[in-house]
Amino acid sequence: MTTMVSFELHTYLGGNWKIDSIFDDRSLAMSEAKRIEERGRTAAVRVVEEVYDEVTQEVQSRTIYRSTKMDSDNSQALERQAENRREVMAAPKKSTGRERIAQKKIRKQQAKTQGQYVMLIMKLGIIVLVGISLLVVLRMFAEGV
Amino acid sequence: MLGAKTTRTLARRSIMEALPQGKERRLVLRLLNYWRDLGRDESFPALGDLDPDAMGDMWPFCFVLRVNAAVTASALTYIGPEILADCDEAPAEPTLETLPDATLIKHATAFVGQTLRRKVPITKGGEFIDHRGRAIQFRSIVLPLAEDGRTVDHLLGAANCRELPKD
Repeated sequence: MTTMVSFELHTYLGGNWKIDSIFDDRSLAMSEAKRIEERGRTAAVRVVEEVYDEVTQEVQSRTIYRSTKMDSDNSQALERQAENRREVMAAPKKSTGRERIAQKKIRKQQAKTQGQYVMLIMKLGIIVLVGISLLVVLRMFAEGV
Repeated sequence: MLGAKTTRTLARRSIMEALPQGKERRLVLRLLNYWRDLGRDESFPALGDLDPDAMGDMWPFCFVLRVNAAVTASALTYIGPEILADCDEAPAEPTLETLPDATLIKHATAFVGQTLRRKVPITKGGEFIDHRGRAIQFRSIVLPLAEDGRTVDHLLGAANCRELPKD
């Protein structure tokens, strides 16, 4: 079987794939595809391997490399998202000390308030008891007189 | 004489290999990059856009062909000295059909017709036995040029080669 292999470099511009250049060497085609990709002037780049069978005169094509600027942008966005997540996760750790102090303060205030309520109830209880005692004493005096 | 020219070719190759690291060293890719930089939007660069000084060490490996309606009658208006290194005699008015067989320039221009049909840069390599019986490995590129940016009227090409060691 006699076959001829070529590598077509395609670029995506203005909504269409266009043949940019043709190579007979895979590594050259890949190098050029990556270089074009780095330049960032095209939205996407792909390398298509074309195998031509001289006997059957059939061409078999398959994409052996494809990378898009969009993919790159997406991966950058994902990276940014991941970084943001990491920052968010790291943020509480940084403020733990301050938060602990604040929580202590809150707990202290809560305890203080609770103590105040107990004192108030006790005072009220004493006042009520004193009042009842006075009433009993006054009644005794009144009955005695 | 031929030996001296071959030595010069090897020397040139050494210069190219001594390029700074990270910079593309392969002639065909360097020329393709240069050609791309000359292009305006999606149109082909014109012959007049070529600047041999700016092309530096690539220019001696280049050739320029003026496209004729009959492709084989297309004339080579420039052939770099390094490409002619393996030719005993450079043809006076070279056209595709008068180029000597078993030479680098002959093989480098073998796919001119394909480039004209596809209207895209094409790079190919291969091996051949030259007229001295040496096995030569080469790589070449042919790029379209157009005065109006669309109708290909000239082709820019380049090729380099090396002698393969004998078994």
